[in-house]
Amino acid sequence: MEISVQLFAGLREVMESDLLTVRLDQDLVSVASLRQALEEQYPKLRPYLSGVAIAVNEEYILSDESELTDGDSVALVPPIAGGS
Amino acid sequence: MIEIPLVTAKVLDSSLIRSAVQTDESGAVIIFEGVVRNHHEGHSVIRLEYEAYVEMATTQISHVRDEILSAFREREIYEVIIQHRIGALDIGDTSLVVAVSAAHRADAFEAALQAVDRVKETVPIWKKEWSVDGAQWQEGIDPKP
Repeated sequence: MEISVQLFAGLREVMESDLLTVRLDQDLVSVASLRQALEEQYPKLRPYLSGVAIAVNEEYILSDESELTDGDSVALVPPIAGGS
Repeated sequence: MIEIPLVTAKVLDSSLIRSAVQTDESGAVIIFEGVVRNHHEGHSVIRLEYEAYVEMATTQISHVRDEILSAFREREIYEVIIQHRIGALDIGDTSLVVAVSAAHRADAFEAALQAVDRVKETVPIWKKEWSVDGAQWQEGIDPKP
């Protein structure tokens, strides 16, 4: 399974890309295993991952046990600073 | 009803948003404008650049509106409109408009304050601060969905 992960703001600048592709052996993938795969495949992300929320299909994922399916829209959400 | 994009790179028009929340039942209309200021935590700011995950920010702003209307359903809140600007903004520019119409002023003020707080807690938007020393992303908060 291949998952595309969108990046924004500081993370996008660190990785010099707004989209990462993560390859996983399993067909069913939890958010926890996605985090682990990101750490392994993108070492530059490591210092940031623990402080980053994961969004799937435009909603925050509250449990790392949540499962991802093909075609999900996945994004890393670093700490937010909207409003004024 | 006028179609108002919830996240936009265009200048926010609070008078347009005011007319969109106004109803004949409303005795109070609150228009809150979040404005770019020239300082942050003791240093001066020249301008701000807002970036959004536009699709999700739009979804989350809709959730905030629904949440406020639901939380105040017993209290005659008639409409809530929230619009956030993105892109490069100068000092004095409006980055956020929250508009609430209600029968009574106390409910309108309270709902507007809660809406602004929830925008800050949930909407995936980031700001880069420009000062004389260069640019840096402002430290944000962990989302509280």
